Amino acid sequence: MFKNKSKHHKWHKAQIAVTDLFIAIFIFMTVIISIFVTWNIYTNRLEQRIDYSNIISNAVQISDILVKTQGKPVNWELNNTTVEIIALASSDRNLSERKVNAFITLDYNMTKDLMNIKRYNFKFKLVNVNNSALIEYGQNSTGNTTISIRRIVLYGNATAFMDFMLWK
Amino acid sequence: MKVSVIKKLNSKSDKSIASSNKKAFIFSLEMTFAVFLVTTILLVASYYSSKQTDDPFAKLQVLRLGEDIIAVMDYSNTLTTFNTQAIHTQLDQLLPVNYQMKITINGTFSENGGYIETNQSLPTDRFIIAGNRIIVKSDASSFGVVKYYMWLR
Repeated sequence: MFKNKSKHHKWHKAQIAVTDLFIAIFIFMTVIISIFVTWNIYTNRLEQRIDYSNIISNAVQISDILVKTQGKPVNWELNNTTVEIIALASSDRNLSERKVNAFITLDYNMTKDLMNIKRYNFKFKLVNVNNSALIEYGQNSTGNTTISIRRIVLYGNATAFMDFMLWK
Repeated sequence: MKVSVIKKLNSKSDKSIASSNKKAFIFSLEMTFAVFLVTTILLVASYYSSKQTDDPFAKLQVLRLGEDIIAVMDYSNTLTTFNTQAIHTQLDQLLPVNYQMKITINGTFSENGGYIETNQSLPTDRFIIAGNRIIVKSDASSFGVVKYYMWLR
């Protein structure tokens, strides 16, 4: 009688241990899967964020160079083939019409190479204060990530807006 | 003899209960500590992740626009007229619709007692970009310090 009770008691213990094991495995799997999914989500977000930050910093730096400096050589507009750094200003935030005209005749891919943005595409636009386009150059955005930066400049002794759009 | 055995057994059982009570206490303490640790980590992570969602581009754009507007107003000699109306007119022309800007000029000019300010008031609930620029009249007769504040509408 005592033996029977003991067996019954042991059988109960074993059953509890198996249930316990299943619960533990279930919790463990849930935790592992959620860690894996979260890891993937955050890796993707991080990659997107790095891409976005790169596009922003490129757009800001390029627009700064375009509106604040004269380029290299200073009179690069006289001979397009010698250009090393493209910039459009005759003085700070005062765009030179000759430089702008020379810029829009440059080969698009060559311009991307010179600006060091081979991975991206860009669109350059000059508009007057009434938002009428004065000059357009480059490709319209068809990408997922687009950064458009607007700079206020003087162009032909009048105020104008320079829009520089970088996209991927 | 029998009595002493029973006493011994009783004392053993008491010790075992006391020990099991202590174990439970340690486990509860450990669990509280673990929960506290996990909650802290989660809170810190969510704080930094929410901070990271701030778009740095919006601030950069405001900063660049503010600098551009003041530079263009300086190069087109609007600021050195020291005329509030002229400054307002060009500012309305240059300022994109979703931004607001306040300009103050303090200097050695005679107009308005050497102090000019545009009539926007600074918000208390927005991120404000501020900057300075020194302007000099073309004949070098007077100068001023321009302070500008810009924010998203």
